[in-house]
This record gives sequence, structure tokens and C-alpha cells, in this order.
Amino acid sequence: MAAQIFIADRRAQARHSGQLLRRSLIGLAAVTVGVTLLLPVLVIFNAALSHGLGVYLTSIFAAETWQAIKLTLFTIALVVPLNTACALALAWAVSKTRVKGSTWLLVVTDLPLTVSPVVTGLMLILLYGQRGWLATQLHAHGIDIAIVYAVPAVVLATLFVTVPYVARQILPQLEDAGTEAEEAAATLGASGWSIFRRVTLPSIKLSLVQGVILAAARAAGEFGAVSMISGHIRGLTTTLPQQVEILYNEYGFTAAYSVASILTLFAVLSLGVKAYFTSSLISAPVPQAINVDDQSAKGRG
Amino acid sequence: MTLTAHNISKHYGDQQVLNNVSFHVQDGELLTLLGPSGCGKSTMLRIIAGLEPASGGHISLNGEDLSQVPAAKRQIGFVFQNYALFRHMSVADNIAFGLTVQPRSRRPSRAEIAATVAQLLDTMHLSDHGHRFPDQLSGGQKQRVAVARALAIKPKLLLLDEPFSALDTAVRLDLRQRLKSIQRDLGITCVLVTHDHDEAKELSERVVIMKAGQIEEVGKPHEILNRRILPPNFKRRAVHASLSTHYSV
Repeated sequence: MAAQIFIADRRAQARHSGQLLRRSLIGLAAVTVGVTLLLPVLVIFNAALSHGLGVYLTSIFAAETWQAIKLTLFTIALVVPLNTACALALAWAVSKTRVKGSTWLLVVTDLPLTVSPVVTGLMLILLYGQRGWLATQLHAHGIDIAIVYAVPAVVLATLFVTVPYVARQILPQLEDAGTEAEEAAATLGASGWSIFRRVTLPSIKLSLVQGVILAAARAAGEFGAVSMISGHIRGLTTTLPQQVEILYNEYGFTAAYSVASILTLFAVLSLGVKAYFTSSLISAPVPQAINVDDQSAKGRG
Repeated sequence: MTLTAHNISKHYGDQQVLNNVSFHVQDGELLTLLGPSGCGKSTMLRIIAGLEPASGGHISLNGEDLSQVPAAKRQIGFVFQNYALFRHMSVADNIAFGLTVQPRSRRPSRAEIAATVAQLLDTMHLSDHGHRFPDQLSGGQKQRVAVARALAIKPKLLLLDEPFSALDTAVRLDLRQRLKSIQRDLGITCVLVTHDHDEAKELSERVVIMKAGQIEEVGKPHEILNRRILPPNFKRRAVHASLSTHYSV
């Protein structure tokens, strides 16, 4: 009896110290996240609104800033669908077929994550710039379009930088799902396109949405590569992050904070959408398997 | 429908999985490919379905060579070991899938599809489960959905890859009988893959015994399988071992 009480006592102690440890760890994590992640975000909004809503709105709707917003949105609208299509093709090739070399393609896909954006910008200048290899080729074929220091450069740089995001998100889920459902669909008479649209795509919906959101967020925020190659032509080739830099360098602090707050808002919003999709798809009400029915079916059968 | 496998071989690189396998399945017959895991029986099934190309030989269905016919055009039903149900579709949509993906010219009307699905649900005793999703079903129910889905396309041939292996004993015995009666009622030609002797005995008209990618023997199950039981001393020793571990505790 005494031994039992002793054991129960020790267990309670252990539970107590376990709880203490858990609470302090959670507390530490909360403080870290708060100071390093949340505080800067809040400070931006605080600074942006420090001179009132009027000043805030004026700085956002200033002609150059408005142009930057439009260019950024245009870039996202072009880059994200293009990237998504390529990523789907790539992920499909890697996980569902045995196309040789597809794994190497995957390794190359990660390049933008490891190369510094500034270097990316330089590479693109070397390729597409006036003396660049591709530009000379195009010129030789009578095609003369300004790429570097123009809008195409902004799009190309963003495209390069955002390549891995969608592919990296959907690949694990694609590989996890295996090929059996696709094979079942094939034996049921589905064409390749129907299999993709009706079996594969729905099975990766969640990660696809997440990948698209991450790619969009990255496309909106890309600075380094775009900064190298866009030429900073005001009102023409400046995207939102560059606009922030320009305003800040010219001591337009409140305006810089305001523009930065738009970018931040976009980031927070995309995270919110991502969280919404994650929770709605994961916590969709799925009642537990009902095994009773096997019994009842047996009764009838 | 009669099915013939002519000298089927299959190798992955240096590894020979099937070596000159030939057999014939008569119309309305249920033939079992029986053998230990890794003997090539599942690969054989996948080759029949067109999910994998043979390295040599060919398959013919009713005399027609299937070599150049892709899986989607073979009209051969396939029940996978883990059923491979579409998780994002309801049971009814799973069963209807093979009909809804047909090109518009051949696709039955919506009402016809619904009627077919309702009838299959009824046959499989799943009428109350049409709106559910696969994750909400028990193993036995999933298996029945998989069979119903394969039957919906009115297959010329039904292939079953270890369809009972993921089920517990009571459900397995029940579904075995149910499958047999469905097969008889429909008169559908079937090839079943299993490693379970009892299953082969109870279900099949003829058994093909496979080992290491080759056919060892073909014949009626009760003729072959009664001869091929485990060596008696092996069984006794196993029982003895299990008893001794049980009582020494």
C-alpha cells in the first residue's frame, strides 16, 4: 500500500516536472517567435501609420508606387501559372514515370535556392544583355527586343528565382501517393489526361495550393535578382521591393514603410490563405471507419 | 472470354521475374495463380492488365493479341491488393469512375450511370454507403467497392491481386464466398493471384502453381493441393515450438 502511494507520488512529481518543462519550452518558443518574427512585422505597420492614414494612402497611391504595384502583380500573374505548369510536369515525370534523367532535372531545379539572387541577376545579364549570348542569337535572327533593363528581365529573373517552390511542395505528396491509383484509373479506361485531372491533381491539391502561394509570395518579394537586372527605371521597371529601397534611400521613410507594409500585408495574407487551406483540408470531418458494418453485411449475405 | 498467355517472360535488368510462362483460362473460369511471394504471379497479372509490358511472349484475349493495346483500352477489371480506391471521391463516384471517363460518344447517360452504380452497390451490400468516402470504410467494405468499381466497366476479364490478404479471417471467409457467387452469377472469367492454399481450393476451377518465375504444375485444386501439403514433421515441429514457448513463461 505504502509502495503504491510512493509510486503514485513519484508519478505525480514526474508529471509535474514534465509539465513545467513543456510550459517553459512553449514559452521560450513563443518569445522567440514574437521577438524575431512578429515584432518586426508589427513595427512596420506602426511606422507606416505613424503620420496617419491620409499620409499612408497618399504614399501608396503615388504614381511611381502605383506603377510598382501593377508591375509586381503583372509579374506574379505571369510567373506563377507558368511555374506551376512546369512544376507539375516535372514532378509528374520524376514521381510517376521512369523517364531517365528526371532526377537530375530535379537537382537542377533546386539551383535557385542555393545561388545568391545577385548572382542570378548577373547570370541573366550575361545571357540576355546586349552582348549576351542569347541576345546575339536573337539579334542574328532579326529579333530585337529589349530584355535586360526592361519588363521582360523582371519577369525572367522572378521566374528563375521561383522555380523550385511549387515543385518542392508537390513532389513529396506525389511520391507518397504512389502510382496505384493512377494504374487503377488506367485499367478503368481513363486516358492520360483524365487520370491526371481526376486522380493525380485532386490528390495533391493541398500541396499545390501551398506551393502556388509560396511562389507568389516569393515572386512579390524578390529583390536581389530583379534589382540587378531591372535597371531601376522609375515607374517602368521598379517592383515593390525596389520601390521600398528607392524611397528609403531618399529619406522618404514613411512612404518606404507604407510600401513595405503592402508587401508585408501580402505575405501575411498568403500565409493566412495557406493556413486556411491546410486546416480546411486536413480537418475535414472524416468519421472513423465503421467496422460494425462488416458484421451486418455478413448477416444479410 | 478466353485468355491465353503465350511464353511470357519478364526481366528487370539482369533479374528474371518470369520465364516462359504459358497458360490458358477458359470462358467463365476462375483460375488461380498460386505461389510464394516473389514468384512472379503479381507481375504476370500486371502484364495481363497492360500495366507492365512483357519482355517476351504475348497475351491474347479471345484470340486477339493484346500486345499493342494499352491498359485503358483492354477493358480488363483489376482489383488491387490495397484496393487503390480514389480517396477524394465518394464510394458512388469511385464505382462510376470507369463509366464517367469514357469518351462522350460511348459514355452512358447520367441516369444510366446512376442506375448501374445503384445496382452494384446493392449487389455488394453497400447501398447505404454510396455517399461515404473510402477513409470512412472498413477493409471489407473497401474491398467490395474495389470489386464493384472493376465490375462497372463490364470487364471482359477480372483480375484479382491478393484481394483478401488485407482482411481479418472472418471477413475474409465471408467475402471469399461472396466473390465466388458473384463470379458464378455473372459468368465472368477471372484470374486470381494468391499465396493462400485454402483460398485457391475454395475459389478456383483450376490452379497454376508458380515458383521462381516458372509454372510448376497446372490442375484441379483438390488434385494438386492435397498432394502438396507441408511436410508433416515441419508442422509438428512448429506446433511443438509454439507450445514450448507458451508454457515456459
